Amino acid sequence: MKIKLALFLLLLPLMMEVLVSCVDYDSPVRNVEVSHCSLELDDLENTGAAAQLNFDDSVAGEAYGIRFRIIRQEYSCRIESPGLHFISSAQAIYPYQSYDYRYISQEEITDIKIESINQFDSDHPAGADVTDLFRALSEQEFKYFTVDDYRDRLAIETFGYENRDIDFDIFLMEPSASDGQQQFKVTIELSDGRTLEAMTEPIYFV
Amino acid sequence: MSMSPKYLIVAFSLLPFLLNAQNDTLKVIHWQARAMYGMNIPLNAVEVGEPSDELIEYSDNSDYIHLGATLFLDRERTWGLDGIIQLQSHKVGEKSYADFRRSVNEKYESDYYILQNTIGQGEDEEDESSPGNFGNVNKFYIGASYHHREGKFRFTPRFMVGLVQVESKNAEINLKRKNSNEITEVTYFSSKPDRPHFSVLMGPTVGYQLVKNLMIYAEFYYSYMHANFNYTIKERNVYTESTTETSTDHPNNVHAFNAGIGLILDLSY
Repeated sequence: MKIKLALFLLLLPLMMEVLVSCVDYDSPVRNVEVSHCSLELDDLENTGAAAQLNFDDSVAGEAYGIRFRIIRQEYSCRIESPGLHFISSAQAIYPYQSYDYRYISQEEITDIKIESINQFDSDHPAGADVTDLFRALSEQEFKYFTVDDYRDRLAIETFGYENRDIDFDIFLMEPSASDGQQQFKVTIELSDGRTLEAMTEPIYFV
Repeated sequence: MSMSPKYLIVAFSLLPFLLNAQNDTLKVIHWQARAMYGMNIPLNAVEVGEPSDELIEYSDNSDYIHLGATLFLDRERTWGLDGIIQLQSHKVGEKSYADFRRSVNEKYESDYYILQNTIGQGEDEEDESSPGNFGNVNKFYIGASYHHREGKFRFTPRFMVGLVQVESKNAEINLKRKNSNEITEVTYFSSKPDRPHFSVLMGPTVGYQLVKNLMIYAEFYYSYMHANFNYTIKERNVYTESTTETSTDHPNNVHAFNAGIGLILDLSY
């Protein structure tokens, strides 16, 4: 009798974990906590009907843009204390379809700053903040937003397996009056104090 | 105090019937129900060579059916009261949406890419993939008719006033300038999206009595509509928020000729 009781007490945490793992059986949504880890930038040329990645070393300044990709991962870029798990792989399996994913950011984006590496124009020397020269387009509302306003609209939660990273485009609305090579440095500040930085490829405005 | 000409015309058209009814003993009253199929042939167009032409549900030759009723005394020559409900279906209505897109393309395609082109009534704008949902033109008339009976033939000229409901759609077009980040929103909106327009109708009908209570008849009439279609075209630069507005007037006075054939059922008592 004591052996059975001891076995029961030993197996109790395992049974509880299996039970808890099955609580979400009816819900096909899997909540995933993610963290902003890195930033990738691409030059865009927007001469056509839609913006495309630019693979040339030049672009029309009136049709220049930058594509942002904020890479988010599950805890991979944060130091987390491991939780107490008896079986780490215990999960309910939805029998009829794959999970919908809900990615929830652990920190907010508090600032996005764009700096010009070279002199942009007479008002913007090398190193100047040129964030105000760019706008982000909301295609649903058919409206341009300042980078700051668009940052506030970026959703902390995203849905769908393929929407773990955050992608958006910004466009240069007031191009430099003079031709020349341009390059931009983007700094993103996060609410946990970290910053993400990246630079565009050098490109000639024609 | 002045009275609108419209009300004067209505009062005048009803006067003969009222006077006639007061002076006669009501022996037999003819109730006639009519059903008719015909063609509406505009004598002038509302088109002015702008894309907004396609947003007005009034176009070239179109079919109509109408239901009508007449009330008159049993005399060889007498005045009567006439009413018409006419449902007019445009042959070209279904392709108006495509024509609008084509017109917009021709207007803007040299400088812009057309990202979206929606057309609809008020907030109820349709998706680009949907065909244009153009409906019927509805007409309602009431007025006086003069009934002249000669053997089995009937000759009935009439004068009627009424309302014509012509919808005029709104549209929104999103443009992107070629080789530029500049985008522009263009909206077409009508000053009278679905208000009825005043109309008069006059012309004869000729009938032949097939059997006691059934006649075949043909109608010919001229109609006039005071439409006052007006479109405002607003172009908004989405970045600078600067706007420009232009206005397009379509003909105020729309004239049409109608011809049709149908049956009359006499419900006398």
